[in-house]
Amino acid sequence: MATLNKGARELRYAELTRKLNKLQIIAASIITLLTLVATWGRWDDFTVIAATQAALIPFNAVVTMVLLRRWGAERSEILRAIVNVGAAVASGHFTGWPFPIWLWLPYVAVAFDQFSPRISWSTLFALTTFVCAFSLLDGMPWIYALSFTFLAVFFAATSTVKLEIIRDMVLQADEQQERLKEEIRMRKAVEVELRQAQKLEAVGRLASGIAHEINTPVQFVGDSVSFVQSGFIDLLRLIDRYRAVVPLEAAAAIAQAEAELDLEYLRENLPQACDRASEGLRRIATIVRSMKKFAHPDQTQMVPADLNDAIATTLIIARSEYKDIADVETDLGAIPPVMCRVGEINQVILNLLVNAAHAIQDKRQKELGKITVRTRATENHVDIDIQDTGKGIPDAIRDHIYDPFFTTKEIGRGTGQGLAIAHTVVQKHGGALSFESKLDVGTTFSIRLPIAQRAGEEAR
Amino acid sequence: MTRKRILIVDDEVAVLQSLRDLLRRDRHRWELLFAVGAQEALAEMRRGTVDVVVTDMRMPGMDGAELLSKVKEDYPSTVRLVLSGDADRETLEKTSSVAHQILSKPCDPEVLRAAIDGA
Repeated sequence: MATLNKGARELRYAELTRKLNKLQIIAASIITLLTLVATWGRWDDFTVIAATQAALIPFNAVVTMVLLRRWGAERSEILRAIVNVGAAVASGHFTGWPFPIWLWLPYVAVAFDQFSPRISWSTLFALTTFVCAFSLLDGMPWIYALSFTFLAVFFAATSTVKLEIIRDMVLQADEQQERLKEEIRMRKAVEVELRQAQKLEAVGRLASGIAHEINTPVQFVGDSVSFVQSGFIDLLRLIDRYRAVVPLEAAAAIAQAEAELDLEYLRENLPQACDRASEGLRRIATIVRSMKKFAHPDQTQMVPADLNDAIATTLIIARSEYKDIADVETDLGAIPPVMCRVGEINQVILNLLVNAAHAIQDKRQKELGKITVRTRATENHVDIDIQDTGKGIPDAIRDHIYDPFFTTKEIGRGTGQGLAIAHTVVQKHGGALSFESKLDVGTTFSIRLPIAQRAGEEAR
Repeated sequence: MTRKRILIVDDEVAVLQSLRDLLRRDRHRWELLFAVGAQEALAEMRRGTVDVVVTDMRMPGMDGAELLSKVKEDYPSTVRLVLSGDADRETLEKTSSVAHQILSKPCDPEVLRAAIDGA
């Protein structure tokens, strides 16, 4: 849409320039006509005027068609003014200064200054001085020179001021447009953020509901597995005691039955199966717990949070996004609790992890890539680095990666909101999000968060 | 030695059955009672003294917090434990004044045993 407007603007500008040129040609023709009328009957003078004007027509045509394009407006207009005024002065000198000749002075003053007032002022000054001096030398009355010089200066001054007014208006309009654009951008960002917050809240509620639903069966499955395991061990003990007291002739039959059942195998593997089941349940419980911790619904206040724990939680949540693409290595340093809304920070870490995985996937290499998550504390800040061995961010788009809805991903894989949200969230926490990237080597995103928030920033 | 009487309350029968199986090992020192829901639990308590109540939070009708506050009022000497699937802040806030200890589901059997033992 912006380019269409620009095209329309250019068309309009060309149209107006053509109109201006036409006006000037008409005015010049009228002055010439008036001069010819003034010399009507004095045929020598009439011929001089007619010949001068006839010579000027091809000259002006050349200036308009060739020089204007080659030299630019300022230089060609100066040349045109000098030659035209020179011709007027010459024809005035040879024809006894017919009155309409003086009209060229205000004409030049108006027609000439449309492009650059500064140049027109000095040139106009030189031209006017030249015309006045020449006419006075020719013995013309000084009141003519004075009157028309005044008119020329007045016209030039008026157009200059008008030009200034128009410029100011244009600037104002530009500023307004910039402000409007900024406003739209901000609203868009707020909208995205709001939508994201709502989504997060919905997911949080869902997760917490699901967690409750899953935890109950996990409880009784786990209890039952424990019971089966301990019951089995009790039964084995019982079998051992039977063996000790069983009469010799029965022992052979029992041994055969045991061999058929492969009791030794059961003795070895049943407890292991129970352990496996318990381990699986522990994992389910961990995932459910992470799901609940990740979303943190209803958190509007900043509270101290363990970001290393938040990272561990988010890595569990995001596992399906990266496990077939990259190995994740964590290097979590000793960091103090950070004042934050941890649900939002989780979201930022998740977005960066998903991006890292996508960047590695886009490299289309066979072996697994690597994602490294690092945390470090400085005196007042905690730094979280998420480094990938992906394809890197091209220079051309580095300025746009935080723009809402800017994405290089195909539909369904990205909406262009991940980094925009990450950026806003980190900024709202008084932190900074930055990155370093090298094509085909990888990208490192760094989240820097203040450990303590300034007073008044905890509440949203 | 008299056995401790433990009342376990949950709206899910499977949870009760599996806890019964799990805590069977302790049958010589604990007498286990089970109630499906808060009303049944209160009826059970009217029948005889209970030393420890272990209850779920989210139950239809009367929830765990309400049950425990009634227990606290009528049987102040009974130890009150919560075993809940959503042991989050909300639950903590609701029950911290009426429960002695809050355990989250899924709960490790040993942790549960220790909690009952400590009661």
